[in-house]
Amino acid sequence: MNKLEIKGTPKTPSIVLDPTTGKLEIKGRSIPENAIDFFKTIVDWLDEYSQENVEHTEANIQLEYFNTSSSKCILDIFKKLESINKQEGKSVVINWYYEQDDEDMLEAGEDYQSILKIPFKMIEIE
Amino acid sequence: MELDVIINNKYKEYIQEGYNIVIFQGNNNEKNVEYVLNEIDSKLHLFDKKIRRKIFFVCVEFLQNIYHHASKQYTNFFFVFNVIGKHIIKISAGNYTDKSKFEQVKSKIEQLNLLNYDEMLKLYRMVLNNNEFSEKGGGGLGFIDVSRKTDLPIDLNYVKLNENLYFLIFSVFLKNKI
Repeated sequence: MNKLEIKGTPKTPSIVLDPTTGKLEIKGRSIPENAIDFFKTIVDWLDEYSQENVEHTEANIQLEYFNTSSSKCILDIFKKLESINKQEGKSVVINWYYEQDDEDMLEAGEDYQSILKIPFKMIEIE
Repeated sequence: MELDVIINNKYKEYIQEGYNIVIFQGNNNEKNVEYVLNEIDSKLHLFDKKIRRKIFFVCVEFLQNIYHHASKQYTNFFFVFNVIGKHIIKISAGNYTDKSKFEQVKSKIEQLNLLNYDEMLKLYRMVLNNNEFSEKGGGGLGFIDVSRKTDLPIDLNYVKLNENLYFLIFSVFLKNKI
């Protein structure tokens, strides 16, 4: 299975999804007008990834802004990860990074944390 | 066009209220929305770091709401981002819309404005998790999240132009943390 890399733009985050290491990264701004189109690639990749024998997956999410169009798509991705976490012999952790004093990003992480049943760590950065 | 004269006058009311940071009036298209967002981005350094993200978030939601949901027949819109006195940031956006959308939005805003913070949070999480997407790719979260992140109720002003056409103006307020 191939690594997925998408370069960031002023409106969309950079994406690195590596099936060898089990490390997934979403970083930057996510403010596309139609987030479904953008995130579909990631969702499809995760569907394929869920069939691979990767024991441990770590998803690192570090977003500066995201619009509400992205919010639901991001939750969809997390729910895919939740399903993978339920598979026998597999584990997933989501690391949600937020900047010091960024209450909105902290709250956004708490929103997802309240919905999901998967290890979800809030990590403050300077 | 007579309609635009009415809207022009409304625009002038809004731009005379305070110190203008970004103002725009024009057609609702991708190029203009992009232009306004870039202008806003370039002015964020004028504000405290803590509030910059909120400002940008609200502006993105307002402009993308117009882009997706405003009338396709009457495309003139305006956007005003200004500071009233020293301490209040006001962000306003106006667009044409039809009667049924106007009534939906009015009802939504009126209900949101009655909720306290905890009720808003509960509603946001419920809508976030409801697996529904609107045809434009959003999920009904826009106004809820804007309401959650801003400091006063959303202000809804409007002009009824005929039986089926309205001009809607939303405004939100943020306390400028100096």
